[in-house]
Amino acid sequence: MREQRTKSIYYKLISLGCDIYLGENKNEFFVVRHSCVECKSSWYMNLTECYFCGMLNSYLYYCRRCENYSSTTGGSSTCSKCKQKKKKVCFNDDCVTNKKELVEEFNNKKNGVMDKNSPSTTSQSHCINCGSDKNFYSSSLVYLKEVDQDTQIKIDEEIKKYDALIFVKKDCTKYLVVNRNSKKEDLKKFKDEIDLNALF
Amino acid sequence: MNNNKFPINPFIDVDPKVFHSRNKKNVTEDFVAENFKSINWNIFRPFNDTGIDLIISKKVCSKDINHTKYDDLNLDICKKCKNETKIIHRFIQIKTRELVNNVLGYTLKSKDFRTDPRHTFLFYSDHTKDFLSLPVLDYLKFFQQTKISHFGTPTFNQGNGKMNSLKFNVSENVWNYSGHSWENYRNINGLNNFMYRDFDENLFSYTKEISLIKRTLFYDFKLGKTFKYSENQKEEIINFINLNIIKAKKESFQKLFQKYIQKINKLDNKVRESANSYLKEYQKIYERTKN
Repeated sequence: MREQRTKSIYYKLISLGCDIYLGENKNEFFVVRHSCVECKSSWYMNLTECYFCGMLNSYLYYCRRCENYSSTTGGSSTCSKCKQKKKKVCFNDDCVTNKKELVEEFNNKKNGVMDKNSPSTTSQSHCINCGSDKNFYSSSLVYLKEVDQDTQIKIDEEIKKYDALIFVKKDCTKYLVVNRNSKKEDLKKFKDEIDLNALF
Repeated sequence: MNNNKFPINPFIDVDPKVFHSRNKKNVTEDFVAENFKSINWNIFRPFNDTGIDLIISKKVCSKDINHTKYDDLNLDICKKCKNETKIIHRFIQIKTRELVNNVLGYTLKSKDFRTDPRHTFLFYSDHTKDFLSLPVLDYLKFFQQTKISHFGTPTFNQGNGKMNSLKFNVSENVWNYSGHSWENYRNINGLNNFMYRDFDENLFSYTKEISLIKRTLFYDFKLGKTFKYSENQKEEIINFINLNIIKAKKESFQKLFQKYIQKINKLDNKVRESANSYLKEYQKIYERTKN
């Protein structure tokens, strides 16, 4: 299998939210997806949420006087209407950081509560799908194999050593993920996408 | 006491001390990886940039892990009881630091604390050639038990709370954190400590335990020197955290996320596009906000 195609599969998996770890053996790698324990939804440690209420970062500016949100990309940090300084406030109106008597002190640090390196944000601590606070590394030791268009897939001893096998068709974006629970009839079912459910 | 067998210097042609902060990352991570390889652990290095620097795995006896020694070969059958072996994994985050006045200073941010018990911090002191390794559970428990609190502080949330209490006592050849011994985490002691644990079998009961400790420590809010609030206001903020984070059920965070999606989707297109340019990194959110 050409290195270029192998890398192409790695990047495909990365685009699907997985991380790739390479071992000593060729065509063998470890796929990891940081996930919620309860619903298996992806978990993002670079995503920030409000430390005080758990609301996710909107990555937007807010003008308190004009009560509107605006872009943080390329725009000025002062409101075009009232010229007041805009802030990256918590997106939850009911958050303690937006309370009238407290809002000023919370938002005069950095460029507001949700700004990068603000003392009021924390890394994602709650699942974006079910709200759980428990995350883990969903992982799989994989063997990658490129096959010709008309190759019949047979599962041999390899499956005992790996959690999953990924078969890719040569010069074609068709994938088959086989795990220990795969049945004989599944071995013909190449798909247009890599089946992550079969992988983990 | 230091054990000369682990770690070794696998790169005999070069002194690890010659590398400086800008070029040491790769060599030191390789140093750690080669050390685990030398004691027969399988190693996996990241292809892309992730929060984990190294994954190590080993086949251990499935009946009694004590039948396997840290440097045994990876065999399918336990050589002692002939039962099958099973694989254990540890996800290693490496922090390499040189000693400054015998202090190993490091910074860990909120994003470094995952609730997977197999996540392990490995502090590599390249000047003394020591590994200090602690599973995330032990690290958090250490701070809970010693009551050395720094997690609820504004500086920790800002990610610039450098820890300067891990010290090497040269004359006694021991490591201490604020006077508490870290010898149990040093070199082979540390390796045995994270190897002989049932993290893999009881993964989810440990994630629960870690998340509980994390919640207690991280949400122990302190004003620090950053926030200038009165005692009454501080009380109000703490009560808010208690109600909305510490005692909140997962359903309230689920609702909050739904509120977030609705609010983003109600914004005018240009503003939403701006938010989406950041959210694109987070596929599961982006697929609900992009149109």
